[in-house]
Amino acid sequence: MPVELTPETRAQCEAIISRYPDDWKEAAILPVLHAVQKEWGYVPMDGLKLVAEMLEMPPARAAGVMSFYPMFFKAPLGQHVIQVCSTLSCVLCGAKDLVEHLKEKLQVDVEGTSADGKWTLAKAECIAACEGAPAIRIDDKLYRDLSPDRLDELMAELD
Amino acid sequence: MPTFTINGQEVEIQPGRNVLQIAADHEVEIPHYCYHPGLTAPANCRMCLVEIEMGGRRGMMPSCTQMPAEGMIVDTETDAVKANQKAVMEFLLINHPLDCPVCDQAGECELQDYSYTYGADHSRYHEHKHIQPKKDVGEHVLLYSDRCIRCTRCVRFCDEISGTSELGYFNRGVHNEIDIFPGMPMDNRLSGNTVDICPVGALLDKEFLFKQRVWFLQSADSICPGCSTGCNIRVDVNKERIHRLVPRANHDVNDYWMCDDGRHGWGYVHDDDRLLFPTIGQGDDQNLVLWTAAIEHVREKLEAVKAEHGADAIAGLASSHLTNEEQFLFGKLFSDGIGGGTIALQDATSSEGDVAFKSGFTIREDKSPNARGAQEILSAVVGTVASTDVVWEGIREGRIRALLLMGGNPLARFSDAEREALAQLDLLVVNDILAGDVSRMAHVVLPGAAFIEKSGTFTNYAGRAQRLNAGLEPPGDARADWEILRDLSNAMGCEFTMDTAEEVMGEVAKAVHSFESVTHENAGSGGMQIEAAG
Repeated sequence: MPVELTPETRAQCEAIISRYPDDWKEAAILPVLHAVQKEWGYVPMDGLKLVAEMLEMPPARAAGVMSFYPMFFKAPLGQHVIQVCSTLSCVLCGAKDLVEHLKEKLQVDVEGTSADGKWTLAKAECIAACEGAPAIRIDDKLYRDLSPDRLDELMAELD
Repeated sequence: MPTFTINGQEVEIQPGRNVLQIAADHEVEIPHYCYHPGLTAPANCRMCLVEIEMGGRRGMMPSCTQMPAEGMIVDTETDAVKANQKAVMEFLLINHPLDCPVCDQAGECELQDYSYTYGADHSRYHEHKHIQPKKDVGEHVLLYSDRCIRCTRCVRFCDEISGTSELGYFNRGVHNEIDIFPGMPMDNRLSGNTVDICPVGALLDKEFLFKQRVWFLQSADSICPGCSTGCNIRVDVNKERIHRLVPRANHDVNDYWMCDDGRHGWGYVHDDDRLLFPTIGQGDDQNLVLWTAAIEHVREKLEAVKAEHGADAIAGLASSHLTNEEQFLFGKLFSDGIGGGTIALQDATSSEGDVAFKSGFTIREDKSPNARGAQEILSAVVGTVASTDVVWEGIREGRIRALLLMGGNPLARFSDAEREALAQLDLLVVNDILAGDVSRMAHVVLPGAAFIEKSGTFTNYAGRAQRLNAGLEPPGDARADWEILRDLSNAMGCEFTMDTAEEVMGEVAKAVHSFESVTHENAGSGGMQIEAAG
């Protein structure tokens, strides 16, 4: 369990916080959470306490904010994270098939990580790519117009 | 004064008061969940929406955050308002478990009441209910999240009043729930208030859980005896037992709150060690007697000590758990009955000092409810209130031969040295509610009443005289302390005829300048500020 940020990440957090008012540091919570998640791949509870401390806010409020957003993870993830959009257009165009295919292929449930630690399957709310439905996000990249076959190719490329 | 209109009625704008409050002042009830007068208003529950017309535009606005303006038209009973209330109720009930038969809140639940008044008579929801967990969130508090309607009053309480911010608002949509940070439970001495302000049965007091159906409870308005703040409380009783204490609103004292120490501090009232009968004799030789015999015995012994050693050989130790009325009669017993002697006041100061919270609410270091009243009245009646050292010294040096220990303190313990001194006395009369070392040493025991078993007034730290009302009978033969003191004074030659604590206050008002205008009627339910002494 990591309990301290690297000096680089801490400096980055401090730089972010310095852009916000001194008496309202908690306004910086989203970019700071992104910075922290970048270091560990997820935000552990102890890390969240560090964030709350840096932002001078109650830990329960920081945890509440973090839990609102699906892009922050509170447990370690696989090497790659596949987020399948589960909002209207994508569902109509076959997102459910993608999820079933991935469950079968990786032998995991949604929010599970494959046994080899390579892939985490997650759902996402609208990722703003309706014109390319069904769309998914793998790590930080968006992929459109997917089918199970196209998904297999993509995953093979990344593997 | 500028005016605006509520349901066609022209009403005055009160500075700082919102539409919901002014409507309530004019007996127009606007239902609400998230709004609480002691907290900020997020306007998130949408139950208090009313139609407002201003500057030619008309729309639905939350009345809890809307401040009125000259010429504003507010309508609270239009079709649009009613349709919104019904819709909000329907949404709130979608995932609500409807386990009212086993819910502590049933009978005093705003979800039940508003559902009855503003909701539909059936549910259109046929899907599975989303079920949230039951959680232990603190020493005194449970959270049954499935009943929660996410009004966030509890979260705001911890942010704004206790200033401890242990509660947060987690997840979103249907998964939205109130929770603590993992491993960091609610750890503040005001936590019980979150149970009071929860409009539904989500936050529950562990001590009250499943103990009573609230419709069986009877109430007495009283004052918390736990410290000198003197929080206004309501005592809920049934079948000769207290079941809970809850705060009554009083902006001059405790706002809407009380601390957990006071809320859960009444256990001693029903302790197995309650003194039930007057007794004469020490240790194993204690005999139960009738009140008349006990009082007569005390008189005889006091007269004997006085005859042999003079009135100055008699001392009294008063407790600041006694009411103003009782302090007065205790003083009179010495000044008029015994005709001298020494009175001292037992100290109940705790070493923790005053404990103040973000909102200013303070748990005071003086853990007794009436130190100020005791000091003021005793000194007016007997002249000087001695320090307790004078009494202990007098006993050790043999100058004081008889001691009246009046009005116990459930938290007080005498030191070994003090108990040794007490053993030297020719006469030790103990009036208390709980048996203990000292009552076993006493030559005469006079069982008194706990705060909920007697009427009277306490003066809080700020000089506010506040009424407590009896909600229970004292157990066994125990009696209200003021009755014991009246009879004792009369046995010693006084001629008191009062039959109620209120009549005793009439005498206090005549004798003590600062209490001149104090009557039980004037003190009302919220107390009255007494004039500064002198």
